[in-house]
Amino acid sequence: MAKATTVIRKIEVSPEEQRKRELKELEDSIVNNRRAIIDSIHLIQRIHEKGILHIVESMLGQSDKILDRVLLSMEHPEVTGSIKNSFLLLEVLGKMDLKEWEPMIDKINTALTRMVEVQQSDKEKKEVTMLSMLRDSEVREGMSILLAFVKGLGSSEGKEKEEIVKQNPDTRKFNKNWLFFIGGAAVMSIPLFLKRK
Amino acid sequence: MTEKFEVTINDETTSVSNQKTVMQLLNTKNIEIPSLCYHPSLGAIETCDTCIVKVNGEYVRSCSTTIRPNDKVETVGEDIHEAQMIAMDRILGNHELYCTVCDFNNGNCEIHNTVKEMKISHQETDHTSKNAEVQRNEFYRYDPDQCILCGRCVEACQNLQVNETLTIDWDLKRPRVIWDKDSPIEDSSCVNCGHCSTVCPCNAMMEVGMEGEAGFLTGVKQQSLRPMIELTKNIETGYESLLTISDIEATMREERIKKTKTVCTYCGVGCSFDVWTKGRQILKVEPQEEAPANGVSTCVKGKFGWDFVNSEERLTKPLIRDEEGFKEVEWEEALTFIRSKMTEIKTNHGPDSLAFVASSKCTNEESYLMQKLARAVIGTNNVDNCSRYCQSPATKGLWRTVGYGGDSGSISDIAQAELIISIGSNTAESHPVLATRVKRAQKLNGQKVIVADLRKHELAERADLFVQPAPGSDLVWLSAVTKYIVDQGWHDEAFLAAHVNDVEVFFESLTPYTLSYASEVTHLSEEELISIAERIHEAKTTSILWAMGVTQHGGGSDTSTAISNLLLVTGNYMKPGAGAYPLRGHNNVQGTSDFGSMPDRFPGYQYVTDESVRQRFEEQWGVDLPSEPGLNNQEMVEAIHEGKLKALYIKGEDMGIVDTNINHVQAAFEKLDLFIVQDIFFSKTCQYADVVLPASPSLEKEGTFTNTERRIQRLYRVMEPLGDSKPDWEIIMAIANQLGGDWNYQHPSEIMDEAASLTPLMAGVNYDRLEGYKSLQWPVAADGKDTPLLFTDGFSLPGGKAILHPVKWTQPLTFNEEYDIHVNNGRLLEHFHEGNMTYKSKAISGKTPNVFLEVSGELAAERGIRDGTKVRLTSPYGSVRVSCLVTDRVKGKQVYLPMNTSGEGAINYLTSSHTDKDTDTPAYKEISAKLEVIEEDGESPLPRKNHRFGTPQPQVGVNVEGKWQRSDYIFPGDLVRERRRKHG
Repeated sequence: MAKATTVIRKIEVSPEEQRKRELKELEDSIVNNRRAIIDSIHLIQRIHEKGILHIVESMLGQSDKILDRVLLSMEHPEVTGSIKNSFLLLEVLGKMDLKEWEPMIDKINTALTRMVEVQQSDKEKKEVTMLSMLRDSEVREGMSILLAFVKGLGSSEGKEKEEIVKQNPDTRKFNKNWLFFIGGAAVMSIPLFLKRK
Repeated sequence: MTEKFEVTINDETTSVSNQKTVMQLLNTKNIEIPSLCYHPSLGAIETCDTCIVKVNGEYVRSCSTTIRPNDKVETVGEDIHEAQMIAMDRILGNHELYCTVCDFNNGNCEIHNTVKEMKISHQETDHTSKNAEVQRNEFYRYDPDQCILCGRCVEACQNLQVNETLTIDWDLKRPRVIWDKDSPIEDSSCVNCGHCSTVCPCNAMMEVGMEGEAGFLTGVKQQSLRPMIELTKNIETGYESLLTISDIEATMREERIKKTKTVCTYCGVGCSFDVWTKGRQILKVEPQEEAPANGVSTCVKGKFGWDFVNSEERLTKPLIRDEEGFKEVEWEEALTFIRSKMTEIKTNHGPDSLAFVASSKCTNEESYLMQKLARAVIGTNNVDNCSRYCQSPATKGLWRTVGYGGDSGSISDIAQAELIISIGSNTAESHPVLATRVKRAQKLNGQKVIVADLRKHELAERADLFVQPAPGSDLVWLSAVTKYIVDQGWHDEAFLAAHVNDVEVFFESLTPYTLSYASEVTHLSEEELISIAERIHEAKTTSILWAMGVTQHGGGSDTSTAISNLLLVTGNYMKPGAGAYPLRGHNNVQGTSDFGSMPDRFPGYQYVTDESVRQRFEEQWGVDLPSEPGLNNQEMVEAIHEGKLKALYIKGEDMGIVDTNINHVQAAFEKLDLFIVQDIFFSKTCQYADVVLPASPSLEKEGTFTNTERRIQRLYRVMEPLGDSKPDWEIIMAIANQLGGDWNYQHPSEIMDEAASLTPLMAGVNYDRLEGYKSLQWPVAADGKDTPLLFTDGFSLPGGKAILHPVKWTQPLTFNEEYDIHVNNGRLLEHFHEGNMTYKSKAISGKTPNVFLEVSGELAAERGIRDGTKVRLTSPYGSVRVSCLVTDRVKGKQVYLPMNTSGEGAINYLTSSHTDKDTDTPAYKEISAKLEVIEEDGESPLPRKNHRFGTPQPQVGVNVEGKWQRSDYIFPGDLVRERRRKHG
């Protein structure tokens, strides 16, 4: 005859027994992962020697305040402007194909050498007529390069940009994304090191 | 009919078959077009304008434009891009891109992805606040400042769930989504089904479980979050960098958030969805379009009712009774105890002194093992399941007439029927997602709905014809309607001649069911009866849905038979959109019987008395099997009282509260020598046990469930079992092995393989064929071909012909005059049965904290009852105490007592041991009581924040015309054309 009952006695585990079980669990875990744990200890030792642990500990302890201060200090237009400009500069650098620029740089070097040579030469040679200079094939080549440069300046930037996207969208995306990622990740990862609510 | 024609897409000619939209065509050609408001489950909404293309030189929305022969479609071009960009820019003015700190940044944010795909770097329209409060309750929240006004949530609420709570108020200066007449969510008619948050393309409408939990940075305090967002906005040089970072963060989340497919553990609709978890924490339930039964639909229980899994009240250790009560023990001790007691009882009293009850909450594999334990290890056929309490009469009615005890088709057939007749089924609350298909078909596609019920429930309110027959009289009006149809010559003679036997005998049996007789018995007017007949006659396809209002009567099997007879007479079988749909109540009530937990049948409904069948099982299991049918649930209770049954092993079934006349049942439990109860909670039944075994709920195990459509679906393990609880199949195997079973299943798939090999009905079922969201509807041939439409060539009876089975009306129980109140009973939307799962949800319990008694205005006036008045109902079998709610859902002296409590309001303290004469299913619906007021004044049992107090605002979809009529709206295509005109 089993009358209804709601009495349930839990298995009582003494604090000593509980501690013993947990220690055993911990011990098993250490033994099973000993290599990783030993390597980690070496790493932590280095970090500790450099005093980084203290820095991180303090930062984590005051994470909310630090985050607020960092964000507050970065809210000035000058600061945000300079971060933004640095991203833009990085973008510009990323767009430069220095390999294609190499022959041009050589030419500029040559031009500078010639300029120096002219400055140092006899007076008679400096008085060569414009007409004879225009007949010189090197002068003509130089002028055509300068004209191409001038033409480039006058072109529509937007259209060129679209052309680049159409021809090689992946390259553009790759360059830009990585540059931005480095910058963006730096900013966005700040809170990763700080305490969550 | 397939129509083929040619069209041109970007100057290339292509062939198109069937009418479809431009967007659908482009998708088939792998041409991607932006789209934000479009959702495949909702169709074209036309609010976002991002899918603009040109057809024959005109700018059109590709989602809503039907492709026609010789159309010239253009998808590229500066002007098209410009139009799409205008649309997208407007969207970005409504939605702030702070993806990395957004909980929705999980790779599936459609705004994020569209910005990325369109290579948008900047926006012209600055994001501005809509200056409206964030709306929230304990289930979900709406942030107007993130809302792009795509209207998907409204479309889902109005046209898919058809709860008709949400609209967008296009007349506001800054339109936004509103609830009812711009009420807070909690004061509205919202049922928290979760459709809105499921279909939202971004974080505007989001489950609160996700808030601050999904991302690595989303838990940052609000005071720091805002400056971070501002800082990021100030230093960004284009969106690509932001999106790259957020993409990386989203990828990192995949490591932390697990998404596991499961099948819902509540009703028989069989909703499947992904559960997002972080450890044991459930972030959200995410239904998928590919889910075969429900698509993106859920109800409040499936979407939000999972707190019970982590409840502190879960059983985590086996319990054994001693002098002082129960004590927790280790598994070994519990199993040893069970072995010794079971062996002793079997030795002393024989195998038939033990009995087993399987659970419709558990998997098919677990049902299979339970009956195998009973039959192969113990040697008894005393095994049954809870379908005895609900659906056995429906199954019986179908076996008699068409041969298979299952739904004739799929939920999609119900949706496409021209006429739905719902009898004794509170389907909008009992099978909420299935009901949405009816509500949608009626609202949008002209489906007609007839409801026959005592109570004016939601579907009754919506019905084209609602009739309220006298309790227990359905057989009479069904037969009268059938007779009238035959008398009018409206029966389907060709169908009857080709596919049905015993027609003439049946027609003769209808003679007594004249309209006047039926009207006298059922209290329906002759006009109502004729109207039902006419509507059936006029509809090309009729599907009849029924549930416990039919089955839980003394003549439940006969009424179910009458339903099937009516369908046969009118030729409403063997075609899509027609047939019989006994709506299964539990997630696996179908499968538990399918897999053999029945006293007279092996898996696949093979008789234990059939020697050749038995031989097959004996060879596979290597034992001799009993040939006599065993005891059903009801007979088990009586056998205990008679001293014949000594041991009972019940799993996942609170029989001490859900059986009828529970005083009688509980008294039986007290007499058992061994009572093993296996459950996830310490239920009422557990209180009588000798051993209680802690089981795992669906989220903690693998297996399969079979829904009301006969659809078998796999569930995967979302999380590990809590504490020392175990999946039921592992427990049953452990017990079998204690008793010499020598079972060695490593995974439920092996159990299914064995079951399928022994069961022709399931021959082709295996786990590979059920992977992910794949499903099979039985019968399943060995090659894996399944049967969505149950009857195509004929019926599963001799000669392939159905049988018209004459039936007679069984008068319901009569009571003395003092018992003047008819006590109807059943389900509520938000709680499931006795509520041991749903009451664990703080959010659900907050809305519906207690059971209540629905009382009509007339009765309330007569007895001085108000909301909160406490009454005692007393039947000849027991009494309950419950608070009242006055409502027009019930009439006269009929009251409605939901079954959602195991306390002093539990309905089964009132019900009798009277059962269906053919199946022994308790006649839960045949109960009358007397009513006494105990306390006149009390707090209303239903808080004002319950959805029943809301005021729905029906409209078709989002009413996009309201947007187009705004003075500040110009179609982007028109804007582009105008710009081109001005600038040449």
